[in-house]
Amino acid sequence: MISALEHHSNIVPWQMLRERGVRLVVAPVDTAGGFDLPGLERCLGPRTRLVALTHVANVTGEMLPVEAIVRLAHACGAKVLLDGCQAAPRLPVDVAALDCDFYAFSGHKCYGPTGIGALYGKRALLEAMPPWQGGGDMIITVTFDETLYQAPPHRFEAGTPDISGAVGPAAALDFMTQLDRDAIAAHERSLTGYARARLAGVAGVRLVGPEATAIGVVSFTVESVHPHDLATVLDQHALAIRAGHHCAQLLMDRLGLAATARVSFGVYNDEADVDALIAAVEAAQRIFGG
Amino acid sequence: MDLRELYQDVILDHGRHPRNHHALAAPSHMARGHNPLCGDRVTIFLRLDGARIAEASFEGRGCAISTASASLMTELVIGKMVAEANALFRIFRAQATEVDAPSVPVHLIEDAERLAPLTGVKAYPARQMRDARLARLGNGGEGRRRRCRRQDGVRR
Ligand SMILES: Cc1ncc(COP(=O)(O)O)c(C=O)c1O
Repeated sequence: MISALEHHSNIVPWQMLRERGVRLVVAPVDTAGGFDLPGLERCLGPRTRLVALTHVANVTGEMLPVEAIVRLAHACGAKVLLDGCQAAPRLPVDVAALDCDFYAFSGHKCYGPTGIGALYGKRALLEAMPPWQGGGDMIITVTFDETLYQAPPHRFEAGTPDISGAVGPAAALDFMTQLDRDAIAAHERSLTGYARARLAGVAGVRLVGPEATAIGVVSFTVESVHPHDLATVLDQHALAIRAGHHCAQLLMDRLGLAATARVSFGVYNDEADVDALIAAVEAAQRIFGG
Repeated sequence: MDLRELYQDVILDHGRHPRNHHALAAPSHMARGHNPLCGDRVTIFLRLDGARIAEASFEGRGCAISTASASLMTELVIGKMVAEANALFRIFRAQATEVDAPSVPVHLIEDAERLAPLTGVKAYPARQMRDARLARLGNGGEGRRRRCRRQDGVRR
């Protein structure tokens, strides 16, 4: 089971499994694009095997009530995988306290390089899982008749690993852990709240998604300015934002939007950046509003 | 590049008030385009009278540049022979994506000049549709998949 908030990377792999008889269920979102816990509860059942949800939604910044989700899913005998791509750089994440079964995140969202990430799994589950790929380094002994596999995690890392690729995220995570993780979360929450409040004050701007637990990203549309035109104008003001569907077409379809503009914050942003954003949005309105 | 060069008045005008922005009642040809990266969906309608384009229109909307380009295209192809429209298309593609200015036959110079404001996208690779077909002047049905580069702002 996934939700309508998911990034394509938490949709497409599960769709591929449908060929093997897996049924994919999509838990609903409410009309504002917010996560719907009772809706998820209604979808859960004795045949639910895995609930794979985002921890923080990449379009709306909404933080999901993951503790409650884990409890509900476990009560049905389902395992839980959380997509932490947006959460890991922003929140202190304690996988043991969350009690999730798997947790995934990407290096490039944590100030590290692209193309590499991490997957956490509970040891007992990993030990029960067969390797998904064979090769060197993942074995204890090999004979022509039989091969004994290493214990996890080595069992899942066939071949010479991407050592140089792993050095980058390790350094990035060291950088992040030297900062106070609670302070990062507080900083991101306060910037998100400030940006939402300032954007809400601009006539013609519509914020996408619920406010309550939003952290780190703010999606919005501007009347009479298409998100891609807005991104180009903002770029000229030295503001880098993302425009488009953000690899979340399920959500965009539910919201009836083809594209939004999205700002996302990092530890280096401050309120002056938000003020510059507001000025640039108003400049775009002057160009296209006419 | 200055923003006003990209967003010239013609583009802003056609972006706000696209011409021929409706479906045709009895099209002879139709093509759908969906840009999976930016989400734009456009449907183009044609009614051919022999080898002449009697009517052209479009539905759907994207950014100012894509809306203006669809709008200007419909204006320019109406009344043209299919072969002429194809020639204009090739010239425009070259104008908008290639370094060297294409040579333009005399009878198409005026049309090519009307499209010139759109060539500002040359400085913005992310705003170009790399292998788009401006109009599939064939038996449309399912339009061809279009690709454009991801639209991310440039870092400071
Ligand atoms: C919530 C979320 N999940 C998954 C991804 C995909 O990560 P990757 O492209 O590294 O697979 C992203 C961002 O790209 C994301 O924001």
